[in-house]
Amino acid sequence: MKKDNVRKTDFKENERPRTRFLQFFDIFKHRFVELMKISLLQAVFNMPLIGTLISFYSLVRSSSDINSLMTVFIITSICLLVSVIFSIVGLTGSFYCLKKIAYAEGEFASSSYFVGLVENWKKAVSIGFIAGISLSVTMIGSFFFYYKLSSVNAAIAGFGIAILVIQAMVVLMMSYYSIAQIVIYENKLKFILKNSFIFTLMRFQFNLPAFIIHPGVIVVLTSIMEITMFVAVGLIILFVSIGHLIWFLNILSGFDKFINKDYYPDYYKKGLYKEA
Amino acid sequence: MASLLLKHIYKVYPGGVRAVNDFNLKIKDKSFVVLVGPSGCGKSTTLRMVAGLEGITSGQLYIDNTLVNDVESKNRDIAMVFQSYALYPHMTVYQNMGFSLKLRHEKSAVIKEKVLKAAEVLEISDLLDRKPKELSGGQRQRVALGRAIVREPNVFLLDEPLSNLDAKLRVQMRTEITKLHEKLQTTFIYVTHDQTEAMTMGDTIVVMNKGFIQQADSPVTLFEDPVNLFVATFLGSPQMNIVEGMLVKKEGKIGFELEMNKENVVWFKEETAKQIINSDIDFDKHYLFGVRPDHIKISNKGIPAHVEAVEQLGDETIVYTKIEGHKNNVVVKSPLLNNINVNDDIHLDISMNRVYLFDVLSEHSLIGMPSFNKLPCQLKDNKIKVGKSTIVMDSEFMSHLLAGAYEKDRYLAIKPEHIEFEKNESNAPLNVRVDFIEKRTNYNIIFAVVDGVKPYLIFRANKDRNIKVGDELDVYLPLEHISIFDKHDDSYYSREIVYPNKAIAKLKTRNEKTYVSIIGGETLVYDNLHREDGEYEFVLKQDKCKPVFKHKVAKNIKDPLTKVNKGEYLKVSCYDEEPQHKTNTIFVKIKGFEEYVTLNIKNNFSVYKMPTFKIKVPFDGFELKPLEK
Repeated sequence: MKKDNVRKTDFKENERPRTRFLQFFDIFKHRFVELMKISLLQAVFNMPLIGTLISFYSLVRSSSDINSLMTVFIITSICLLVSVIFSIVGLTGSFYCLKKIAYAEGEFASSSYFVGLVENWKKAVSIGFIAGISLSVTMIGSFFFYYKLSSVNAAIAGFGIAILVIQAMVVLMMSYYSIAQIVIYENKLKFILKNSFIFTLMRFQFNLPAFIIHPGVIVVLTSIMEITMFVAVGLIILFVSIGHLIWFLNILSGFDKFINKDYYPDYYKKGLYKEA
Repeated sequence: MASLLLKHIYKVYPGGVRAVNDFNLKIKDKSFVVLVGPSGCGKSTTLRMVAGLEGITSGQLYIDNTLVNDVESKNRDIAMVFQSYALYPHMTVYQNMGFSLKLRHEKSAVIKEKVLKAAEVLEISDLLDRKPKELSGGQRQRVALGRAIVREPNVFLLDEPLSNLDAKLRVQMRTEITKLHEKLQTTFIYVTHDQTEAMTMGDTIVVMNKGFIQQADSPVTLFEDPVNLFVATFLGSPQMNIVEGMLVKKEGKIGFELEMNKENVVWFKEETAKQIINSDIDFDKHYLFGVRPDHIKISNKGIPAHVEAVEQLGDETIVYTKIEGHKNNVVVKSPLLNNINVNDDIHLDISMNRVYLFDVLSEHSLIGMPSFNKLPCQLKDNKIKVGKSTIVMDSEFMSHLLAGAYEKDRYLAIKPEHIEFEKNESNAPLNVRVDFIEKRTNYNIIFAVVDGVKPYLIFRANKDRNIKVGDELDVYLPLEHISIFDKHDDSYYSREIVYPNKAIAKLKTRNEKTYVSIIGGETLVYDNLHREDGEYEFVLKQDKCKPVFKHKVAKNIKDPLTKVNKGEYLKVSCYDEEPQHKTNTIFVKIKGFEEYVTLNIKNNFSVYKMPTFKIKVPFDGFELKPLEK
């Protein structure tokens, strides 16, 4: 039997990470299995999105003219709307588990996932709908600007695409903030969206790197070629929770600084070492 | 919260290894009972039997008046904490603590509430997200305790939970567990081999050795009144000094010659001398004299001794001395002494108020509180005559008596703590006169004379009970706690009902051979018994039959083979036994007998070594009575 090494000293509070940044590594080291579990659970809700991506690719390749391509884009954008709602609903489960982990509550990941879903799915559907609409509009708009307008006025087309992409980024970032708020606080949807918008812009310098890591890397991998798309699908299935963790801890650091310190002291730096 | 009753619990492993023998204990609700003893004494086995992890060979285990011998472990509402923590390494503290509740399909909100509450009690709320590998031994043990707490069991069983911890942490956790008991107000049964742990934690301590309970009482009582040498030397640090020697009588005083050295005599106080004179102690035999290190002073008078080592502990000094003829050190513990050095010649002044005397062979305590009061008695019909007093036996009591109980030289035995002052339906009065009283921390010991009987009847009385020397009073002996012994301490009171070993047999004599056919059973053949043919009541005598078996199977049993003629034996199957010092009472089933048959055989035979065998029934091993028409 493997010898069980027992620490000579007690685990002390001051051994906890002191920042959310360091907490990422702490969780990565000690709760990796839970992260994998969360990824797999999230993958169930990401299946429509994965299916949409794969079918979009195959349909685009088989499209011979611009009209059929347009049909593909319209159908995909409708599918995207539905699949994004599913993904965002799944995200409530992930964030709920990550909340337990980050707040050092140490509960069962799998059961927490479903508790998170059951408690928050209604608001998550609304947020998913908004994010879905945003992405669908981006998709159709991009098609319009790229195929219809770029030959006429490339500058306007480029500007239009940029605006669409930025709004999609902002809405997606807002979605993360909204879901994080839903699982942590009790609040009305309009205030959640308002707060999310403020946090998205106010902490853009932190949100952008997080966005580049997730879902940026996945989007890029999806866009390059077929094989990288499958790599992206693999990443979504197995490691999506790591991207979610980065987002969640980023969001928590913002909440700690601007909300918890003054309004929710119990949540302030919860799970971190707090110096007296 | 629950009370437990362990009645005549035995654990015999296959092959006849006896781990626990006749374990009797009543554990009150909310009490903290510590089982203590050296390794292999049966304490963990007892705990595992209570937990349901080990089967009970014989006896009854009641939890809250419900017999749970055959109740599965998970249904006993008991939680156990192991020495090795037994935490799941891949789970966090929260998950470890909540796992049992998860298996019970409790709602996650309920699990959370219970886990958080237990974590708060154990002060491990900040560890809930940690895995066992990140925790120290003490923290792991707290988690193991927490896992037990969340189940909200009726009884907590703790099997040497602190043994893996270092000395400092052990002391800390000891206090924590005691506090936890106070908080939870639940019954705790705690197993340890550490006497300090036992003394500091338990409100009842059960000292065990070789599978037997040596003494079960409060820590103070065990320390002040050990009933035998084992308990006396097991508890107390440094342990009690034991010196061999002889009793001497001089001018009405009784003394003890340490190591038979006429120069080194200590004189017992008057009351102790009275007890010795009253108890028929043989003055020609050797005895063991005991005194605790804190009851010896270094002085100018007393027993001459030579200092061999001195340990300065800061607030006290331990001096290891040598007295002439005694091979071990006599240890003295006293408040800080600066003027004692190695190789000094000193004198030891022994406080005779707190000394002990033990029998060399039985190791029983001979002065102070005995393990049993043994009063000579004579049984006749339904009465026990003790001196001039008579105790009337009820039918229940009589149904447990073995055949030899009615013979001469029998003793009524009862533990001092079982003697009562109030009459009820199940106890019998005994008139006594108080001769002297010894004071103890928690109670007084009453030494009373039963008219016409020599040894004192010794019992405890609460300090608030107004008993004075010279008082005549009635004490009451509960029949359920009375035993009938012989002088070898073999009991003639069985825990099982003793049936009269009756069967119906048909007798037929042909060709100078008598065939005794037990109806429904086997046939015994003897030389002509000169009885008329016909049906008789066949009564097997308890003491006359001998077990017979093949030498190959029982090669380690001395004197097993008895040559039998064909037709002189019966096949038996055993289901229980009660080993005594010299004999073994076995309860066997024989074809043709209505109830089980009780037999007394030599104690070198155990039914657990051989559950089925044959017994030789000699021609004088049974009685034939004509059947009543």
